[in-house]
Amino acid sequence: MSEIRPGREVMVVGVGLHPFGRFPDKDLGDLAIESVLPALEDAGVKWKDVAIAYFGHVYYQGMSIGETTLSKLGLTGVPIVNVENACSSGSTAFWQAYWGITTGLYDLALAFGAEKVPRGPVTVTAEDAPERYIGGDHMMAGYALRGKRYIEDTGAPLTALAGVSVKARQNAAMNPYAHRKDIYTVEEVLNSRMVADPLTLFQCCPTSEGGAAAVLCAREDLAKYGIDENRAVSIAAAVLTSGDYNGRGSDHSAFSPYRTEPAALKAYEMSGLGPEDIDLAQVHDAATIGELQQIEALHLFPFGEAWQGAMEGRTALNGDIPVNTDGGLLAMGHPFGASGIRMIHETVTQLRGEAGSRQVANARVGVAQCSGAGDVTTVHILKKS
Amino acid sequence: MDLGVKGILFSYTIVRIPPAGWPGEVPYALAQVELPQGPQVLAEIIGCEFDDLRIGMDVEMTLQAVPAENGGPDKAVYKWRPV
Repeated sequence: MSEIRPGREVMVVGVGLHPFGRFPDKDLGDLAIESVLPALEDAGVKWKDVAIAYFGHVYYQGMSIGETTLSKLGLTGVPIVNVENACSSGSTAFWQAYWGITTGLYDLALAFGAEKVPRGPVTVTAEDAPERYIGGDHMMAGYALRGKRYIEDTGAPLTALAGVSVKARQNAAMNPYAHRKDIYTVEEVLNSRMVADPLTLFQCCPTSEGGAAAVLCAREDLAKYGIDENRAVSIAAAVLTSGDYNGRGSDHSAFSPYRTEPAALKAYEMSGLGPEDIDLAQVHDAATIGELQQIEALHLFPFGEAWQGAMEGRTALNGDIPVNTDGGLLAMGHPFGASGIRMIHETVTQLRGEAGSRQVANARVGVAQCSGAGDVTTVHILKKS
Repeated sequence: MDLGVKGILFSYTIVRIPPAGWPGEVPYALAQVELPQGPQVLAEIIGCEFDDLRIGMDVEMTLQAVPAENGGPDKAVYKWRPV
């Protein structure tokens, strides 16, 4: 295991989103480009300034889709890398962009992601794989197993889980980019169609389409590109991990609840910050139980106690540790390649103080955590400079 | 290492909306079973009413023939069942 050795300070200097939802008249490239252009504009740089680009996506859309997509902006000859890391594909692209700059290889990088996820339960394996016969190749069934055990261990009521989804919709109602903006009650969440108990349909994130992009630059190169330092947000930690033998993390099915913890500890070490410094969190809430367990794994709450904090309103926008302030996966929806960068977009927007009616007061440090099948975890900590 | 065929039910869920390619009945019970040595194994649990499932119950592994997704010979698929 190598040590984490960051070099130059790296900033997020521009972010862009294509709304999340269903867009039958647009292809993957449209969703990507319509997030990349706003990100470049937000940064105040041109496509020709970008020294390297990483494209997160999961579903096969033809070879070298990153290259064919960005070719619409002009052929600049820069390296373009296609990144597949399940639901963490976008955040992995961002992680690569960070490390490309901090090590001094590049000055200015683009990380973007887009996806058009088909409707219906998400499976991980290819057709005829052994896992398909076992019945566990079902992301929401994996989360349901975690939820069942969490309730058994902690005594959390079903209303605690449902409340996570209600809060997500309340936040999304203030977010023009969200897939699902209509607000519902705890009772409506619990009475929606059962997917895999204890998870009802409204406790599972919608599969969606959308795009997200971020532009990163070395702090010492901001002036060279004429970038406004006051709107740049510093990246204090960028960590990517896979499964290990300590967290029961050997199965693909997302049933390992706390595999985020090792990545979180590395991120805290790298940043010199701790959970007490975090002002807001974007975490992987593909299902309601996911949010509760991720904020415990990030040490924002003691293990087994996040459900109480959530019921007390501590994770709401006006709570002491607001979580998934843009609506999260539960209300934004989950275009795999885009979601991880969508979390960066929201964190940057909040730290800049540009989140409008959903602005978190005094937001200085934010964490973005993204999980993916194969025990992929990313944790990024961003800091107002 | 011989992991044996017995374990303890760590968690379970009744899947009512199945994944693509699921060849069995719907709904079905999916079991997460912890082996004495620590590893956990997912499989359908059969031979038990849904209401009788309890976290902590003793289970054992069995094999069942299941039709292949794309035709061809049946697959031998492992399942859990109560001891």
